[in-house]
Amino acid sequence: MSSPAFSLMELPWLPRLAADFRSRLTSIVDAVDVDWGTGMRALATQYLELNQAIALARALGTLRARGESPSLTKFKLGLVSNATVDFVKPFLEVSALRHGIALEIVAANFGQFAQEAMDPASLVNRARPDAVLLAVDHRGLPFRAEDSSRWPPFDHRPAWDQISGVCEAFQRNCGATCLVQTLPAPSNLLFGSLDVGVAGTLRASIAQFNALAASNVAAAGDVLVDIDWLAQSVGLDKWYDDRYWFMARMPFAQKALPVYADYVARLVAAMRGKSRKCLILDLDNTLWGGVIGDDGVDGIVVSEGDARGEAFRAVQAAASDLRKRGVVLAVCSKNDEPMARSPFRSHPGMLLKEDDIAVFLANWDDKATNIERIADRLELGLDAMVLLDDNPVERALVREALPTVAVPELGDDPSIYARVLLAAGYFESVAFTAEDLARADQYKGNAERVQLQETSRNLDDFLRSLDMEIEFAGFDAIGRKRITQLINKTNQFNVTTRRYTEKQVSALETSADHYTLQVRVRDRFGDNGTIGIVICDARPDAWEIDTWLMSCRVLNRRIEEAICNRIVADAKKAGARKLFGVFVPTERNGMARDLFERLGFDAVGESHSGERWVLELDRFEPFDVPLAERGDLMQAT
Amino acid sequence: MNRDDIRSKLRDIAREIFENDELEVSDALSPDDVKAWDSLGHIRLVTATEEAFAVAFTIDEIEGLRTIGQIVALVDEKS
Repeated sequence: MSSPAFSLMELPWLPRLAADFRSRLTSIVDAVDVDWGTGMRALATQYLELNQAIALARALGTLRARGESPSLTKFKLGLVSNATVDFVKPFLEVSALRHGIALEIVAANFGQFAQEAMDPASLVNRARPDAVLLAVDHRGLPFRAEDSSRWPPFDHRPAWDQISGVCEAFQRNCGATCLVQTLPAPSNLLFGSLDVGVAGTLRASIAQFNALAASNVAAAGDVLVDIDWLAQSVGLDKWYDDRYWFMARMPFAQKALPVYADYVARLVAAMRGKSRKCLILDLDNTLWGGVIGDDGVDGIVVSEGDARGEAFRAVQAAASDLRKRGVVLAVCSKNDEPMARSPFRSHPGMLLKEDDIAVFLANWDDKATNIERIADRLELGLDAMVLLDDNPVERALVREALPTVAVPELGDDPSIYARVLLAAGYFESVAFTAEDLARADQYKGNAERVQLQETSRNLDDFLRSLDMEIEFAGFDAIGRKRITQLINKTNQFNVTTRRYTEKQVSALETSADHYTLQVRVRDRFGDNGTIGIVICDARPDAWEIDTWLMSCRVLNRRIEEAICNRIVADAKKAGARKLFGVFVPTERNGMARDLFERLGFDAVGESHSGERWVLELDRFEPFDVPLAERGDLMQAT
Repeated sequence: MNRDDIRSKLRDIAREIFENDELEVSDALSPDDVKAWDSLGHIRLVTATEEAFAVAFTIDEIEGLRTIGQIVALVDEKS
């Protein structure tokens, strides 16, 4: 193959199209009464060109019309543009599928982009989408100054005003979060190198637009899509194909469609908390060159000054940086454990240390089994895992056995491993919080707690030995990002799985009709941060739990009992006599199914929304819990 | 690659793009014969052809192409 080692447009982390694509697609469509979500997601997890994307998107439409898949998360995306986006649609659908999202696209007519936002009765506004993608091209924005006879020819202000006005209008008219794209640099310069520094050139104007977007979009609760970086990375020569702009207003080359759509889809998935959380590393020829069992600590290649060694160090540096931003690291290697640990202890070229690894499994069991063990130890789902492994056989086996684990293709050249891992976007995020910073340590603490639990005589002794402290507060601006993150990504311990945007969360902070709680827990292994969220509809006589979710890493610690004590105390104080709970079953939240029963609620039957439960507050005896409630708390109303 | 090879590869591309596995792809086939061969269908057909044969057409050529036969001839000329 003459192509360069790494080409972003070809999504090199995905396996190439399998020969049986069409027949597998047909057999999924022909099957009845089975969940098609996992099979379709696996089909989408390979490199697709336009024709395959269209075939897959069409099959997806047929299947969804028969019934939604419980293994996919629904998301409604408005699509507005000042360019032709007909070809974007099927790619967005299949790329979302790849990330576990069943995407419904509501597309406005070509060019109707500002009107669509301003008119409350427009197609997109009436559809009340979860988010709206502003797929705009700079050539359709008013960058060119109105007076064409004098300097400067371009101005970023009218363009920025239009975009920010559109965002505000969608917020006002349908409450949707906007996905706002940064703009790629123009293909042509006016002076040359001078353009970048001279206000009024197109290059400088677009740069100013992007700077405004970077500082304003997230602050307004919207989400930035960095298409500028994407186009740079692809290369502007390849990104722009002016023939198709002139003929059909297509904003970029067709060849860039797959990567563009994946780039958008991974952000949509991140908004739903579907980003991966744990990176599992193979060792031999993934973290270092050579085989530790054969070559020994002195024989492996992982030092500066050696090209292969530097390539492997780049993989370690990438993993280490991911850890710093909250991704948990684990090791899964077919090796004897002392041998596998020896480079971490004694090779001076190693950037990763044993302390960076939350779970270290080196044995001769098959990798799928070990990956399941790692997920259990960390109390994370398999769909939160990424496996980095140079061995194509292991990759294929894990993909087959555990289709929800992400397994990037790596090829033979270690110089691209780090780049492939990072370019795949597994750890895409729409916010960065203090909790993220502490997370990797928390998971490590978790694994240590599991060890302590094994040595404690009984659960209560163990829990008391943790010296847990619990702290309650109502929703506030400081916690807003983390609260929104938990509401949108918690799937397992979540009684209703209702999702709210940051704007809705912000409205709850001051709502007189709602009672809200953010719950923090500390113990002697560290601060777990905010691990629980409660929202109640607070009617005068009775409260109803709209949302109750908890982070899986603090389960089985009787924290739910402490939370129940607190809700009941506050409900009574407010004069309520009953507390209702609703359990809405999903494929993922089985572990929360018995919550209300365990807390002493009585079943009152099923409604259209789920199983209903009630607690008579007069008869409630507070639980004796192994946690200290800490400090003088904010009034949680 | 001779014209027959080009013709047969183009037939597969056209069938896929116009979503019709039984489409009779003759040299005379034009947008008048295929409903899906509208302006966007034309762009799909042309870009897929460019990719498959590693050729690039000018805008005049793209806008002037009316039949499969013309595409075959143009690919042959450029490759």
